[in-house]
Amino acid sequence: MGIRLRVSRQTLAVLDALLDHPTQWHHGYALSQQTELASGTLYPILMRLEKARWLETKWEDAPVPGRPPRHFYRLSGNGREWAREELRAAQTSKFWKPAHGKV
Amino acid sequence: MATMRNSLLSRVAVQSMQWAVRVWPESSRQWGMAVLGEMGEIAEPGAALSWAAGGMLLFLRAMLAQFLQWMKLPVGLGFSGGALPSGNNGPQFPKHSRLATAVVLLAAVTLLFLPTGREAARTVEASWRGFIPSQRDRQDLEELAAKAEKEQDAGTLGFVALTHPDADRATHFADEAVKLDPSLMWIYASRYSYCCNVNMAPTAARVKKLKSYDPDNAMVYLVNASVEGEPLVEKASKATGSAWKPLSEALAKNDEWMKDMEAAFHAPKYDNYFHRHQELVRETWKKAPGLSPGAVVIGLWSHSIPNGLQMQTYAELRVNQALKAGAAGNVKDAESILAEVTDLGKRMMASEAITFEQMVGLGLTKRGLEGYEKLYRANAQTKKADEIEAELREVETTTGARIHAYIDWREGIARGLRWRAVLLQAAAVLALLLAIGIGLSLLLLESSAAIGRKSRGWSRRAACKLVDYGPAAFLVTSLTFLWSFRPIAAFFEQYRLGELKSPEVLGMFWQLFVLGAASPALYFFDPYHQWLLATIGLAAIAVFVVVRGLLRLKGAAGRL
Repeated sequence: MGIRLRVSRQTLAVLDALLDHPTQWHHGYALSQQTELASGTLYPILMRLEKARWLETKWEDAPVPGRPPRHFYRLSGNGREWAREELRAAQTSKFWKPAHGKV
Repeated sequence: MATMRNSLLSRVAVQSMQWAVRVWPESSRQWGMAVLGEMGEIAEPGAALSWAAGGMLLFLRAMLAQFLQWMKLPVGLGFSGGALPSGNNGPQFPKHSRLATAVVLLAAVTLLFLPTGREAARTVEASWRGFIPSQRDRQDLEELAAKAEKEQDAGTLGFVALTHPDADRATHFADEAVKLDPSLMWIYASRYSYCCNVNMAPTAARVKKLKSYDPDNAMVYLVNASVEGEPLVEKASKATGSAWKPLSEALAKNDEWMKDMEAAFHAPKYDNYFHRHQELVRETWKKAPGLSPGAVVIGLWSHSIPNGLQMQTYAELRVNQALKAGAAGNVKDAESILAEVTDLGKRMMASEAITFEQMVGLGLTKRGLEGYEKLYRANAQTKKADEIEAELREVETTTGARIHAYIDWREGIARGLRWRAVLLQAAAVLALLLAIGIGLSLLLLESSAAIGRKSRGWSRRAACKLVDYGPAAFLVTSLTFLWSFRPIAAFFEQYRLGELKSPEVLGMFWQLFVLGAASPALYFFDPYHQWLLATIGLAAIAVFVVVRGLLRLKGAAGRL
């Protein structure tokens, strides 16, 4: 396993959202709406996940002219495994409950 | 989008994020751009603003992280500077991190900002000015008076009247205080003098009030006599020097002066109000401990005492009158006149008078007794004359003993405090020099980092040494400063708590005078020391130029 994280309820919510369509790229605002986390909470979590190599990031290939490019995120291969493991453990210990009864 | 663009809130949100991204630390700027990248998708202005607010939080975190990283680097080394240079080729940097430097400096500054530290700094600073109240002291007193006027606090207004360096303002506050509390009338007698323009000479109306306030006290009559007599003394001194006869004639011709002196010599009590003054100062200083000790104590120091010369002049006039009466056979009248003189002298000695007044009292008693002795010898009353002679010897012994005791007491205070005062002044000067040196070194190193200039000159080496060792030296100096001030601080505290008696309060003045005598400012204002410092400075520059020239010559010879 890679770098383990201290996983908070908010981090679990982000992991859950990223696992919704694990191979697709997600963008920040959609994740924020899905998890109901403010940008000031969401981005530090994304930063930590990226630093721990759980997350892959990329910039929008063809940004809309006149607008800054968007940043996209998805879990890495190992990241997905570790995320599932964390979510399962959190559910077992009743630390966290998925929003829509998934996992 | 049109709604969003038109919305002021959305514009503020986007522009603030654009600004943040521009100044965002390089290492995490992509995350700021990521937040900004999403803003084009948010149609709701409130949501855009909330999104930008989160982005600003992220920005603050990034800035803080960057700042902490920067603090871990030595002073003068920025992020663009990369790793610390090794070997002798790169520019020199201090050994310690900014954080270590800041922590030690902060500890030292905190010590100086503690209540005792501030009190010590203000006391030493006052000693450098010769305890003349500063503009800041005036401002503090004005603020205190404004508050007291609002709260109708007569005591504090009385304190300001006795402490304010400006005579007109002092008179104004004295009137205010007396209006609120007529029992403070004694203030008019505690700060009067003809001279110096700093004391308030009470007007006729105030003198009248003072006399009706405390009619049995010799002090209130002596106040007016002093005010009346000073111009006459000054005029007589200018015309005839210090000759006593013209002076006494000039005073004796002034009815007002004679009337007041007569009333003073007949008054049944003598109270100089010093005790009340020091109690008022104590109470106010307790309420406002932030006041400069220099300003507070100097107010007490300028407490008025009667004019000893004028009192002795009047006593001399009366003794001469008594001797004339005795020569004319009116021994009873002569005795009664002489009793006025000796009685006031004894009352002054018995009161809580300060040392100078006690000496005046002893002088009056002695002069009266000399008159008695002459009177009895002239009238062949040998037994009485011998008794008076014995009493006179006793007074002389007491005078000598009191003078010696006073000198010993003063010397004792000076001996106990002298080296501490020197240490305190030295620590203050060193702390000041270190603060300036460290400040300039930090400025030099950081500014040369900011403009990308990294010289290896002697100034940079000196700045690095100062930044490395200066803060620790500053901390030690601050500790020494506080430790040296401890006896004076303890004295001030005892005074504020009312644990000192009047003579001990006077000791506080001597402590401050010992401190003032050790003041380095004396060296700067004294022409001899100015000459000495200038000579040392010029000699040092000459030695520096010669040594540098020799070294360059040696270097040039080596290259050849």
